[in-house]
Amino acid sequence: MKLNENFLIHQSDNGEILIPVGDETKRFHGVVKLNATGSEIVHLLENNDLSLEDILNHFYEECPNDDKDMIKQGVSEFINKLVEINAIIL
Amino acid sequence: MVNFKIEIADIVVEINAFNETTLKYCSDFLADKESNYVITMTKEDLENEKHINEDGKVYANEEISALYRKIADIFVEEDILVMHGSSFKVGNNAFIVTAHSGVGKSTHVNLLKEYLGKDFEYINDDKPLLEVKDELTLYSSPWNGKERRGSNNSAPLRSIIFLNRGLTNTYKKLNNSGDIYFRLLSQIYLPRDKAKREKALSLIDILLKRISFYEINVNTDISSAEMTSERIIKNEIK
Repeated sequence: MKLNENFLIHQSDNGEILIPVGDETKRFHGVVKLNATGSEIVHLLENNDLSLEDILNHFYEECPNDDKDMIKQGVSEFINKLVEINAIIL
Repeated sequence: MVNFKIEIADIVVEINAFNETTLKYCSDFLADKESNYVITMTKEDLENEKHINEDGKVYANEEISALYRKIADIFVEEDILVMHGSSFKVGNNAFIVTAHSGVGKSTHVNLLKEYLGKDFEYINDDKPLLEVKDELTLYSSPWNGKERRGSNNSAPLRSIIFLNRGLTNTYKKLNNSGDIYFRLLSQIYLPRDKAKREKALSLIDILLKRISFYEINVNTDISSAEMTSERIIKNEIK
């Protein structure tokens, strides 16, 4: 999966947001506020075609002491939301 | 085609439109100067507008709305944002009262007009333009709401006031920039084009640091205008 090119990551003093551009503005009218994990996920998918497993492995390596099930649940839920709004293309 | 030039925010735009009504709509802004930009309306622009209007908005004239979007897309390159709000000036100090459509911003600003009397002057009751340069300057535009309240004038912007309907009148200065940021995003025109949308977002980042923001809860009594005038406007123009 990859980040849809018609979504823009914007960094401001108030953190990062993900916002649609082009034709995607007709489908999704909102803005996604990104926390640290969300930001890392969208940046990973910005230039790479990765599987859910690739992303999970990235976080398992980054946070070896955290519960893997918790990581899987959090990452999966976030990705599902981005798939729902077409920000991630499978 | 109808050919005419308008000057908004010191920028001259030559327009080739289909309808005489578009020229009439822009009549307060006509100019006879060398143009900075040329806009030629197309059938596709009008068709796109019909598509956009499907999500609930109804405009009397698609060309007037399509022209607004084309100008907003151009002006962002000139560091100018199109705001959604009712704007006015007191002396040489501009204010915007903003809220989602139908909440009552025009009603409240009309009460301010009544309360402030000759000190009050409308800038634009719907879509003022905000130039984000060394100064923040608020300009009027032809798109001034269904009551056509506004005139071709400008002033430095002092504050943006977010309005909610209330049973009683209360106000507070907003300090949470994250909260202000998301409120602003829904009241500023963001072009669809990626680079232009990014530019608009960067202008909003600058705006956030430069002026004060308030939230008011107001009823429709003249006392609500007294509160906004005495507690916010007079405080900002001291």
